[in-house]
Amino acid sequence: MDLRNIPSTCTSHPVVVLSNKLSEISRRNVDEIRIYINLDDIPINAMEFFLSRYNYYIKELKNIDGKSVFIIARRGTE
Amino acid sequence: MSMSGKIREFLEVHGKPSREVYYDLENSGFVPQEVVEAMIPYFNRVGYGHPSITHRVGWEALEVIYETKELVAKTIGGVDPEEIVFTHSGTEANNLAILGYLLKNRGRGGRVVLSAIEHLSTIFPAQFASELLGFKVQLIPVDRNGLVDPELLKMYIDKDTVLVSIQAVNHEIGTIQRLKELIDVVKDMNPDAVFHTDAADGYGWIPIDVRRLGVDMMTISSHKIHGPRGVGVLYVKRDVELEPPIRGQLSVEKIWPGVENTPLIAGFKKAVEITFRDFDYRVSYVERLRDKLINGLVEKIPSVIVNGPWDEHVRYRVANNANLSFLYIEGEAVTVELSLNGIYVSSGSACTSRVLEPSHVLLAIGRKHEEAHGSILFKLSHYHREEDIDYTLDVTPKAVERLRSISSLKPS
Repeated sequence: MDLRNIPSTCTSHPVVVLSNKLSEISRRNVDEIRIYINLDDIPINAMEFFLSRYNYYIKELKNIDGKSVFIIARRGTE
Repeated sequence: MSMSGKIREFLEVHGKPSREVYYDLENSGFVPQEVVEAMIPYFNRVGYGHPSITHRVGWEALEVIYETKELVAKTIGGVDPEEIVFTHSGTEANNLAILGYLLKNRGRGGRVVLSAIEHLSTIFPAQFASELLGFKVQLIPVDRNGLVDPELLKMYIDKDTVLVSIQAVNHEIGTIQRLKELIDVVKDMNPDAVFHTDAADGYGWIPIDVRRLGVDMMTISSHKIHGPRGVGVLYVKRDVELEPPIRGQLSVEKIWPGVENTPLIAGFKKAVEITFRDFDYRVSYVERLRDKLINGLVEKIPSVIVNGPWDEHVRYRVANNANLSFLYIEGEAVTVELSLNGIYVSSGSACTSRVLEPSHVLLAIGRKHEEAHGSILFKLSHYHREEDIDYTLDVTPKAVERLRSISSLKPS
């Protein structure tokens, strides 16, 4: 899921897309997701919190350029 | 053929249904006769003058404008009537709040925090100001019911936060936010951050005391309570400074130029009086109709989803909101089919007029695109009767069944 270059329109803001995709992914019981996101759009602690709502946790986090990160999130065991 | 000619031809084909039930109160609504009667004198008998000019007809206009300010001030917790600012719509009030505050604070930088499901009249000016004035806008995700989690909000607020805007009640799915908790979080983290709430869909439906809540600015819209279109209100706490985002000759309002529309304000005053006359009874009456409508539609139509708080979360749903997705059909098709039967609703498949894109609100609560496309919003009021609900429950299942029979979308 690359959310770094999503334009802010009335239907496609990175956070709206993230919310929508996470909901879909958790319904499909996907084990692992890879996300690129700008830190300006969602703070890391908020991302962690939001992922946990869908029973995912951050397994790996890489800073790309100081502005964006790459996250590998795995489904929890609950 | 001219555009008006085409529309006339279309209306002739459509015909005037013998029975009509209007639920599109999100977008506009009928104005009750007693509200119309309250407006009529102000067109040509009294108060038709400019409210800032020193003659009798001007003073009559000023009188009704201040009577309305005093009344509105009383209904939101007894604030100073000078803190009530008239605009010409809720959209203008949201623009004044967001742009006015950011303009006043330009050069300061910082962040503006909004929920992901705000009305576009809040999101767009914030994004516009971020490009123009150097602020960063962040949207907070919401849960499946549209609620902002106070714990999550905490992670967005720090010393750089200049403005936070979260609706009291969502306009599409009717979510009632836990405003007090959210404002407490913001003020604890940064007492200087200003909190605006768009209460266009909350005013008249939930009790609002801005001082108890700690709200700094709040938007109200006349047409959402059966007042005339063309009147908006922004409550601005005395110590919050705004810079007018539009310029022109000032009248009564010092931060929103243009002459106040006195007849419409007189109508809005009457609508406020009616709304607050039997507040609790009216809200519980409408809530009963809403429950009957939602339960009836879910019972009679297969493959229906209720959007927004429901079942064990129903306490977070405003009394007048029923938003449902009818799967395997387009919401726009449902609005037309119901219109032919005299039932007027709106579809959540359009985020802006004539744009067939799913609504950002439904996407943000995790609805699939096809679910968002099939959503229909019914907004109720105390002018609806039990028979209107019965008629809707009779007509809608047949309409949905007919549309599904010709739809290319099928259950997978």
